[in-house]
Order: sequence, then structure tokens, then C-alpha cells
Amino acid sequence: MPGAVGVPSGTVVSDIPRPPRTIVPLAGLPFVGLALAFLLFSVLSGSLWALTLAHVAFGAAWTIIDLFFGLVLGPILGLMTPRAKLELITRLMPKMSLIMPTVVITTLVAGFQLGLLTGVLFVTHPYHAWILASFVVVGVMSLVAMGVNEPANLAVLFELRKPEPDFELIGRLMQRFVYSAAVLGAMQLTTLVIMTRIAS
Amino acid sequence: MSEAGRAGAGRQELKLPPVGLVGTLALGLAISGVTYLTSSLPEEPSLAPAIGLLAAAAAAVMANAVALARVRGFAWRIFFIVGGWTLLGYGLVSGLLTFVLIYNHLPARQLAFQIATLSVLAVDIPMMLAFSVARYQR
Repeated sequence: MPGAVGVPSGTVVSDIPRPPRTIVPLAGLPFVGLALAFLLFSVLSGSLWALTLAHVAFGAAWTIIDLFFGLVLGPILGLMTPRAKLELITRLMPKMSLIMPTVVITTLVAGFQLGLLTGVLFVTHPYHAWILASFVVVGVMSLVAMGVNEPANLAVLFELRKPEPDFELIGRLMQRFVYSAAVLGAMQLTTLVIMTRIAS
Repeated sequence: MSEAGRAGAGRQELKLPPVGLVGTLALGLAISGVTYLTSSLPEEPSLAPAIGLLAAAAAAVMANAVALARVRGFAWRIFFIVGGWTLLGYGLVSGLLTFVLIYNHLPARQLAFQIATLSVLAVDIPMMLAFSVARYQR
């Protein structure tokens, strides 16, 4: 069925790329474990360096991935051939289902702990209004990610596992995913402004 | 096509409740309560507004579950598979969060509130994600 994915009606469904049976790539789990172990170490050690590293490195990854997805990859996806588009979706999206939760949780926990240790989170801090703004931005981003972005991602992966996927549905869901990624990318620009203001 | 509408063209038509929308609303209410408390650190503000927001979130999640349970012919098998794995992942993350809160000696009342919030979201988030997959399955 032709749609936003653009797969022609004559396509042999047995020939299309498929996501892994487990959806989540199991080979990536040790890296998730390593990231969470480093997060635990940074919290337990109380090391400002380790917490800053976890917060800045993972936060930068979060920001850049969202910006890249929303403002670079999204528009390119619309111009790709149907086959290339499916190849990209089936190889990239399962990895994203591991990368994004890890990046988000590490950034937020390390940032919270860092804020407690340095007092940035407290009402007495001169930049408290900026911190509140960052809470609101993260809250809205969570709603977009959990309400639109991740459901669309999962639904596409499960649809692609079917013997005869509905390409029209996949096209609609991918469009939803790309639009929500663009919203997240735009909100990440706000995060960049807030975080650099607090740090300077 | 709205979420409350049909579950996909060309397949057996099924009227579905707006689980994603109500689930997102519940998530927003829960996040607002946590934000209210966190924004007052290191002081301990009244818990009443946060409890009100959490109660509203819990009511929305319950309404969602009841509405979904009444759907006949829904793909419950895939719903519980996706929901179960999501719950496992969520359990790991919320365990980590709870540990960090305890480690920071969060006052007992606030800790209880945060655990209650995580519990409400433990139903809400897996239900939203599982629904988003199962609604397109036969």
C-alpha cells in the first residue's frame, strides 16, 4: 500500500528489512548497564567532576540527538527512496529505544544530584527562575516524548514485524515521529539557552 | 485519524478510548506535582497541591484502565507483552530514582509522595506504550 513511506504496491513484503525479533537490540544492553553504573558511581562518590561529566556528556548527547533528528534527519527522511527509508528505520529506531531512555535518565539524575550538591536547585539561588524554566521545558519534552514520539516509534517497529505490514500506517506514524522530533529539537534550543545561562 | 476513532483502515474496525491522550494528561499532572515540590527545595512546602495533582492523575489512569478493559476484541496478548517489558524497564529506572531520593535523605512525607507518583506512572506509562502497539494488532 503506497503512503508516506512510499513503498510501491508491487513491493514483495518478504524482501523488506525487518527490525530485530526482540525489538530492543540486546547487544546494546551492556552499554546501558555501563552508563547506569557510571551514574551510580557519580552519585555515590559525590564527585563533582563525575556528576558534571555525566550531566554534560549525556545532556549534550540528548540535545544533539533531538536537534539532529528533528532538524536534519527528519527532512532528509522525506527525500529518501522507500527502500532506503525502511532500511534506516529498521536499523536506527531499535537502537534509539535503548539510547534515549539511558541518555535522559542519566542527564536528569546527574543534574538533580549536581544541583543539590552545588545548591543550584535551591530557592535561594540567584538563577532559581532559570531552573524553574528548565523544569517546565523538561516536563513538556517528557509529555511529547512519552505521549507522541515513543508510542509512534514502537508502533512502527511492531508493524514492520508483521508478515504484511501496513505501509500507509507506517508512513503516518513516521510523520508523527518526525514532527514530534522537530518539536523536541526546538525545545532543546531553549534548554541550551537555559543551561548556558546557569553555567555562565 | 483520531485516537478515539478507528484502529486503522482496512482492518477489523474497533472503537477505542483515547488512552494516549488521557495517559499524557495523567503524566502531565504527575509531573506538575513533582515540579511543584522540587521547585521549593530545600524547603518543605505544603503537600496538599501536589497530592491533589497526583490524585487527579491517579483518577485519570484508573479511568483509562476501566475504559480500555471494556474494549472487546482488543489485542490483549501483545498489550501485556509490551506492557510487561516496559514495566520491567520502568521498574529499573524508578528503582534508581527511589535510591537517589533515599540517599539524599528526602523527608519521609516527600519520599512517600514521590514513591506514590512513581507507582501511578508505573501503570500509566506501560499502559500508554502497550496501547500504542496493541491498537494496530489483530
